[in-house]
Amino acid sequence: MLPAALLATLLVFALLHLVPGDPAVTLAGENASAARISEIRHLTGLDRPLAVQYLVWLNGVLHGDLSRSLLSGMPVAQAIAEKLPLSLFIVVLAMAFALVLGVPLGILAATHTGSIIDGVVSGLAALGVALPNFWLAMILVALFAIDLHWLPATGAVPLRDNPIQALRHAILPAMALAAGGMAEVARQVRGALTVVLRAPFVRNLHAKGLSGAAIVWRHGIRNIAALLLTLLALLFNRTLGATVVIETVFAIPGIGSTMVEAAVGKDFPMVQGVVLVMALLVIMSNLLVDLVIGWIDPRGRRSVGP
Amino acid sequence: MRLHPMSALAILWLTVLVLLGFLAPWLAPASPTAQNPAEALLPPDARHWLGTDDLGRDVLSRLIYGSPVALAASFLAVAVAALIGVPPGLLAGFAGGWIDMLIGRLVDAVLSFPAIILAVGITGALGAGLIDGMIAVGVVFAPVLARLARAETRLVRAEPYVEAARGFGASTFYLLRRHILPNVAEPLIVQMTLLLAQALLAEASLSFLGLGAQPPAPSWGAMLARAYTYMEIAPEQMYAPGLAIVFTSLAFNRLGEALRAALDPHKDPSGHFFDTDPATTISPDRRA
Repeated sequence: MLPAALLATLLVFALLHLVPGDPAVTLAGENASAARISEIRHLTGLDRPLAVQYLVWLNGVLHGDLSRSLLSGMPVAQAIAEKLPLSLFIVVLAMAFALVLGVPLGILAATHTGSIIDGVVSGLAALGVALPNFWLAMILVALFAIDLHWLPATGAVPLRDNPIQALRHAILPAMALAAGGMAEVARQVRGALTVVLRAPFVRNLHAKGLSGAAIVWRHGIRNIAALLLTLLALLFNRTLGATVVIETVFAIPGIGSTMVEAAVGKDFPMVQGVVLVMALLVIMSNLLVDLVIGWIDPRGRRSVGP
Repeated sequence: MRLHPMSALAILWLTVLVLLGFLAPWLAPASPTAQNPAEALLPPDARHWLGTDDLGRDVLSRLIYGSPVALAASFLAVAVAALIGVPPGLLAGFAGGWIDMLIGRLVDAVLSFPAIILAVGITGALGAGLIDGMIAVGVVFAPVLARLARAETRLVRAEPYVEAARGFGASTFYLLRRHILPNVAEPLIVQMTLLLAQALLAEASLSFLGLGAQPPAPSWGAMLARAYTYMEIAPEQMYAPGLAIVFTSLAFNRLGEALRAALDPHKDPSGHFFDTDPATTISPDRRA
């Protein structure tokens, strides 16, 4: 966890130095005067050695200081803290959709390998990963917002202000986000469960007279529990990333759309801040999943690493 | 070997796309960038089979000229990923020890960033544009290939022919190039084919966000961005570019699966799409 997080900060720090040319000019903006540029260079410590710059920046990050947005002048950490809840809400909803649809589809395919059902699930899964999520979002908007007027096409409402409206605004974005995840979940569950159901102990269970459903739900699921949890972390990574595109489509003022605005507007502190926060969230989710797996699955206990 | 009908279809579609790329000037009914404000947002008719966009450009022509853009962008990203990812992966798997640990940690760190986020971040740093965007996507995909190259190298590094060559005094570089690489190439090629589909989706996403192909270049993702703006007036604009992206990414995935089946018939007898994909399957060494 710690080495991964440290390496992540190093990579995010390196982002600014990827920019061709002088970072001070980049930070000052294109039309800044020479005096302003040298002032910025001094203020931001860009005239100091790289290692010192990194440590100073890291020290700020550890104290919750992600510097200020070049576009709005607002502290980056504050901007992210304000926008994160909206993004996390649609991410969590999307993960719920993906699991609620993906797990049963995967189980169906695994218990009917080689049948029509398996083929249909396989086709759905293949389509799910091949579909550009923003295009799916456009189709959903055309259908449910423009034609049927069931759900709002754009915007978001904070959960705290009005839970019902918040949910109505989040349904379409979450559906668009969920398709790829659902496909991934169905495919992994199908793969893992097929292996489990071929195991000798399952033949024993059949011999004992246990019904197929009981075998799947009582023994099959338990055997793939660790995989399901790992999938959860993978799903979080994937869905969180996809908010960049989906929030832009639905004009949701979350951290994904903020990131795109920042990248287009060359607001580097904001880009760095969002990338860092997302990476840390993913690292934390991985750690959490590893801990839970170590707790429920004794075979994985060695896995709770440094 | 019998070719699955879907695989044949995928190969046919990709061949057509390649041909479209070369023959676009003769096949496209109009220039992809010729504007005609008097004919903006026309519905499909006999003259404009797929209608016109908000600047009066022929959608079918843009779609046809978009095909080489999509293919070239996908190949560029995967080539960059292979160039950056494969050599360190080979080295890590072959050398073991601290080199392996260091490269492994770096790979894990890059993989802890959501892929598209890192691509958008790098594109933001490099500046918007199709080439820089696809280089960014390549950098983001590199760890996937590095991880696979490492795992496959570990399987062959102790083979007698490697030992024998080492006994003759071959250098590490020579061993990697002449003996390891050819023997780990097959799974890498399969994975790279599958990555083409993801690179295509990444290109479409970046161009949709305005960070990839810049106007007036005909990119399917950029076409969808315009279609989105005019969705309430001309909803039919969004179907053709979207379908082109879906079919192409399905075809790349299908081709990857077909290659896997052809190169390694033993892996999973049942497998169509569900074959374990090393890039996304939870690998056992995550536990180690």
